[in-house]
Amino acid sequence: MSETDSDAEISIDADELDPITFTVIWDRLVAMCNEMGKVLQRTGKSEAVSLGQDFSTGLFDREGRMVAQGNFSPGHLGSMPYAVQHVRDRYDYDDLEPGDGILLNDSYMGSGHLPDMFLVTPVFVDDRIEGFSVTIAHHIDVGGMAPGSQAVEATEIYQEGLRLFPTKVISEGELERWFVDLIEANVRLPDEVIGDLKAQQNANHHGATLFREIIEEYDRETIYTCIDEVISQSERRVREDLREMPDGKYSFEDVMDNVRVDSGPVNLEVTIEIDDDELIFDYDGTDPATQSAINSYINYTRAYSAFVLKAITEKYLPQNEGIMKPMTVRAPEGSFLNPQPPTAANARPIINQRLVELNLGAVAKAVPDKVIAASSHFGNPNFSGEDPETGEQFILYDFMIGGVGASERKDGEEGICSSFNVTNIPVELHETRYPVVIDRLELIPDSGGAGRHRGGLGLRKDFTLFAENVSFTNLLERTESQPWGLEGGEGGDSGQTVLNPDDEAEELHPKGQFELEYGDTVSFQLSGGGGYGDPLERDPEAVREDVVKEYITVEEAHDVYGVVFHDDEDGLRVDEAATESRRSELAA
Amino acid sequence: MPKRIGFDVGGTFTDFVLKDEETGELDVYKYPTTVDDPSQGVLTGLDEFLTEVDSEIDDLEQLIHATTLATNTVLERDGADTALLTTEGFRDVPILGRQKRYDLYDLFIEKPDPIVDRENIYEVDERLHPREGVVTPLDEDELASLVEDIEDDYESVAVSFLHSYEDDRHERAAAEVIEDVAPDLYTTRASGISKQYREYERTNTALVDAYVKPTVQQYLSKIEDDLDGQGYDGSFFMMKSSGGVATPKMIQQSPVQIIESGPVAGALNAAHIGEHVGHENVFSFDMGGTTAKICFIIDGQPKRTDVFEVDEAEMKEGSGLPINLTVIDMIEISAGGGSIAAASDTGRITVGPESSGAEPGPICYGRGGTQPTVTDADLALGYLNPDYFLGGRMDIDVDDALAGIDRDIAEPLGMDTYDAAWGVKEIVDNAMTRASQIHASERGIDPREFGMIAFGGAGPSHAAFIAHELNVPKVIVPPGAGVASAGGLLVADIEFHLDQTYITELTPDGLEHVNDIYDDLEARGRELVKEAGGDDTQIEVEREADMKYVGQAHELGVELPTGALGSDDIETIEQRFHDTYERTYGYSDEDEEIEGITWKVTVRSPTESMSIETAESGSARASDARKGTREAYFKSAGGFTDAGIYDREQLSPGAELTGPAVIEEVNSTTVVPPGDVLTVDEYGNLVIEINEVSDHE
Repeated sequence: MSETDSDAEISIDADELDPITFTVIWDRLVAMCNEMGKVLQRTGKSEAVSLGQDFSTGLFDREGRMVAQGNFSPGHLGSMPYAVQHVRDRYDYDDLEPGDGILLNDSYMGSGHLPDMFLVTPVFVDDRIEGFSVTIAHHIDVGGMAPGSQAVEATEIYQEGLRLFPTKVISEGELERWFVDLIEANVRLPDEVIGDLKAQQNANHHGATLFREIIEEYDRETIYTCIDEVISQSERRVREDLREMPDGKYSFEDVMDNVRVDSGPVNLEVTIEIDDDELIFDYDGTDPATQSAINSYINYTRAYSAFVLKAITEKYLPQNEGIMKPMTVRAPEGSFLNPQPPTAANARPIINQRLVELNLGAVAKAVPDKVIAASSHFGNPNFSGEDPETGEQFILYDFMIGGVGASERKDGEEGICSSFNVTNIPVELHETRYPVVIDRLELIPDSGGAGRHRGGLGLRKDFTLFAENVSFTNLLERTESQPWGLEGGEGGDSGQTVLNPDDEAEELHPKGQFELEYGDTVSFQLSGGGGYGDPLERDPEAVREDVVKEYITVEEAHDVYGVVFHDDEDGLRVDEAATESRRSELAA
Repeated sequence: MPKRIGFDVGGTFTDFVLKDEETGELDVYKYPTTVDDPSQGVLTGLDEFLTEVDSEIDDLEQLIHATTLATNTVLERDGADTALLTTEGFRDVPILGRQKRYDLYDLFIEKPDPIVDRENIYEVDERLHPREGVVTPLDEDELASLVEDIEDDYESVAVSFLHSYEDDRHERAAAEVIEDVAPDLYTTRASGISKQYREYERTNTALVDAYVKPTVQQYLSKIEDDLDGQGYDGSFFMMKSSGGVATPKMIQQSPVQIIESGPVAGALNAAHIGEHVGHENVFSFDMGGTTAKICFIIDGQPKRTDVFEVDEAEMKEGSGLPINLTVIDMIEISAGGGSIAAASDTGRITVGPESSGAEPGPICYGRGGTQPTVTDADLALGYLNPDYFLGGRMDIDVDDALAGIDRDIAEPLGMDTYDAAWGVKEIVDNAMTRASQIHASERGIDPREFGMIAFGGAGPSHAAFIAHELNVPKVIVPPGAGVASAGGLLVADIEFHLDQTYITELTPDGLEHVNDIYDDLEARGRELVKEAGGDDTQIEVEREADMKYVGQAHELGVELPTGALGSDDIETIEQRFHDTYERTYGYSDEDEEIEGITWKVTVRSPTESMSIETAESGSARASDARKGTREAYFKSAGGFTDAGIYDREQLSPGAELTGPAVIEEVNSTTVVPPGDVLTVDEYGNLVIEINEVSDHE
C-alpha cells in the first residue's frame, strides 16, 4: 500500500453517529454509484455498454475499502476491490494529481479477461486523495486474434490483445495522445473503444464530484465514521445469516462441456464449508487450466463466489467491503479456476454461470430453500464481416438468455438473466444496423426440466447473414450436459447450434470459429432450466396451463407428468381418473 | 357566466374544482370515488357540487377530466380479453421483455405478468425488413381465417409487426382484414400509436391500449350519455398523459394516452403558477398520502419523455411494462403521509414503500392503524395541529402517534422518541431529495437554479426541508395547495404530440426527407386540433428531435427550428445538440458526427390565458394572522422551539414572517424552518426564501 493513515484524524466514535445521518449518507453513497451507471450507459458508444449495460461502477475510500457499488454485473463487481488494490500498489498517492485516470485490463489483476477495462480515478478534496471512483466496462474489441477479442483458440494471453497493467492514461482530464494512438493502432473498432472510455471518464468524473461534495458538506470524520459503520454493519448482517445455516462441508461436482473444438469436459468441483459465521469456497479437485481462452482467473472466481454468498444472505443490502469479509476463496494454483499468467482467458464469460451453479449445487445440500436449480445457459456469439451496404467492418454481438431454474417455491421464470445481468438487444436494432435477418426468437417447448416446479424454457434465435466472408465465433455451453434439477426435478434439455436448420442442417461446435457463406443461417437453441421436485407431484392444473400456453406438449404431459386430458368442445380439461392411473403407472 | 369544472378521479376521492372565469374565483369539492363504477361517483359528485355552489349544468361551458381508470385496469389486470397478432417467429417478444434483473442478487426475482398470456398470442405469416424490404408478404386469407376462428374468444385485438414504425402497410392491411371479418372486435394497430423502433416496447404499448380500450370506451360513453341527457352542451375534454387535452372520442380510439392522466395536472398547474410569478424554471413537488411526484418545468413547459413503465415492482426501475408514449416526465416515489416507518435490524430507520393508505391510515387517525407513519411523525414534531386537522373536521391523537413511534422505532434503536420522529421525517425527506437529484442529473438539470412549487396534502410541510438539501433558493406554496393538482386541469391546452423514427445523419438529403415527415406530422396535428374543437387560427407548433452521436444508442431531445429545414440549418442544429449534450453529461465531442433518430412535433391550441386572482400587493402584517405559538422540533434549533402559528386565510399579500413558523389551512400545512423568511405575494402564494444553512449541520 502506498500510504497509510498514520495521521488518523478520525475522532468520531461510531456510537456517537446518529442513525439518521448514517442512513442518509449511506443512501447517498449508493445513489452515487447508480448515477455513475446512468452517465456511463447514456454516453457509451458500443451496444455492450449502451444497451447491454455490460459495465459496473463503484466508490472506494482513501484506504481502498469498497464503500458502495451500483447494481450491474457481478463479474465486474466482485473483482473490483482486487483491481483497485493493484492500482494502489502500483501508484504512490504523491504521484497522482487531480484529473488523472488509471486504466487496467490485465486478466490476472483485473476481472479475468482483457476486454474488461477498469478506470480508476482519484477523488481529491483539498489536495488530498479521499477515495476513488471506479468503472469497468466490457469493450467491444481489444485486438488479438479474432474480432470481438474472445477467440477460444488462444492459448496465451499474448494472443488476446492489448494488455495493460495499471497505467496512467488520463492527465488533466484528457486521454493522453500516446494512448489514443495505442488504441488506434491495436484494436479493430477504435472509435467505439475510445467512445466507451470517454463514457467511463464521464462517469468517474461525475462520481468523484459527488463524493467530493458529500465530504465537503459533512466533514471527512463523519463520512469516514459512516463508512466504517456501513462496512461493519454489513459484515455483521452477513455473519448473522451464515450463523443460522447448518455448519458443515458441502461438496458438488459438475462438468464444463468443453472449451474448444477437439477438447473434452473440464471437471469442476467445490467444497463449501460453513463454519459458524464464515463461508469458505474451496475449489480443490477442479481440473487444471485448459489450453484455450476459457479459464477463470482468481478474481473472476472470487467475483462469482461473492455473488453466491450475497444471493444466499443479504441479497438486498447494497454491496460493499463488509459483505465480502466473511468469505474465503481457495483454488489450486494453475487450476481452471486459478490459472497463472500467461494463460489465455478472454472467453471466460462462458464460465460465470457454471461457477454460480456449481456453488448453488453445494449450497442446496445445506439450505435448499435458498437456491434455484441450474438455468438455461446463455449464448454470447459474435459475427463479423464487411457490411455490403456501407463497405465498413461490423461486429454483431449478441447475448441470448433463456429461463432460470425452478425452486422449492416456484417455477423457473421465463427469459431472464440468471447469474449475470444484461439487457437483450432489440431485433429491430440489429436488423437496422447489420446485414442480418433474425428469423425467429422464441421459447422452445418441452425444453424446461420437468418437476413439481418446472424449469424455465430454453430460447431459440436464428440469424441469417447477408454478407460475404462472415466470420462467426460461437460461445455456448450445456450442449452436452444438462442444467440439473433439484429434489427429483429433471434436468433441462441440452442446447445446440445448428447451421442452416431448414436445409442440410449441420450441428456446429459450441465454441468454434466458423466462416459463413452469404445467406447462411445459424440457429441457436439454448438449454432449458432444471426442474424442482417430482414431476408426478405437479398440480395437474398447472400442467394443463403449460399445455395451453404451449410451454409443454400433450405428449410431455402424458409421458413425464402423467397428466391426461379430455379435449372436446369444452376445451382442454384434466381427465382426473386417467391421470391418476397414468401417474401410478409411472411411479411404479 | 362562463364556468369550468375540472374533475380528477383518484383512488380515494374524486376532486372537483370549479372556476368562474369572470371573477377568477375557485370552488372545490370532494366526493368518495366509487371504485366499482367510477362514472357513478363522477355524476353524483358533480350533481352535489353544482347544488352546493348554487349552479346549474347549463352554467358550465367546459368540463375537463383526469382519471386513473386506465392505470388501475392494468395494475389489477381486469381489462378486456385481448389477443395479440404478431410476426411469425416472434410470439415471445412480450413474454421475454428486456430480460434484465432489477434486483441483481435475488434468485427468485419475478417479472411483471405480461398483458396477455402466451396462448393469446398468434403468429401471422408476414415479414418486413429495413434493408430487404418485403421478405414475406402478408397472407391475408390465412389471417382472415385466423380472425374468424378466434373472434368469439376476444373483445379486443392488438396488431404489432416487426418494423412497423417504418413501414406500416402490413399492419394497416391486417387491421382492415380484422375490420371486415370481425367488425365488433376492438382493434389497436401498434404503428397507429407508436412510430418508434424497439419491438418489445412498441408491442407492449399496443397491448396496453387494446387491453384498456373496452373499459375506457364504455366508461366515457356512460358519462357522455348522462351529460347529454342532462342537456349539457358545453365542451368535454380528457387529460392525456402528455399534459394536453383531447376529446373523449379521440381517447376512445387510443386510450393508452390517458394511462398517466391522474398525476400530470399538478405539473401543469405548477408551470402555470411559475409563469405567473415570473419563474419559468420550477419544479413541482406534489406529496400526497402514498406517493410524492416531482416534475421539472423548463421555460414554462413541463419536461416530457417518451418511455415510461407501468406496474413497476416497488417502483424499481426496469421492473415494469414499458410504454412508448409522450408523457409528462415525472418521478413518483413511494413516500407520502401514509408511508410506514420502522426500525430495521441493522439500526436503520426505514420509511415505506408500504403505505397505510387512507384506511386504516396513520395511527393518529384512530381508525385502526398500528404502524407509525410520516404523518404521525409530523404530528409528533409539532408541525400538524391536532385540533385543526382538515380544518378541525377530523380528530387526531398525538399520544397514540408518540406511543407508536416509541414502540416501533425509538425503543428498538435506543433513541429518544422525538429524535426518532425527526429521523422518520429526515429519512423520507432524504429519499425525496435523492430521487429528485437523480431525476435532475439524468436530465442535465441543476436544481439550484429552480424554484420549487409545493402542494398536495403533505407537500407544503416537507418542501422547505427538501429545498435546503437540494440548495433550492425558493419554495412557493399556492393557495388551495391541498387540491392544487385538480386545479391544473383548468390550465391544460388542446395539444397533440406526434413523432416518427427516421434515422439519418444531418445532410441536405436527409433533411429533405425530414421536411416531408414534418409536413405530414404537422398537417395531422392541425387536423387533430381542429377535430378537438381547437381554434386553428391560433395554432402553435414546436419541433424537437431525438439525436445522438453516430454509434451511440441513447438519444437526447433537441429543439429544432420550424419551417423547411435546409443546409443553412445544419450548423445550428449541430450546435444545439453539442450544447445539450454538454449540459447533460459535462462534455461534448464536436468532432463526432450526429444523427437524428426520432422527429417530433407538438401542435397546440392554447387555452385562453386565464387570470389568477390577484389581491392588491399590500402592506399586510403577518401578526394579524398569528394564532399563537406551538412547540415544534427542528434539528437546526437543537430540538423543540417555539414556532409561530398562522392562519393562512388571514395572511394577506405583503405579509412577511421568519421561521420557525407553521401556516395552517384546511387541506395542508406549511412549515417554515428556523431562519427562512416567508412572504405572501400578490397572488396569495406563500413564498419561502431558503436560508443557506443546511439543516443537518
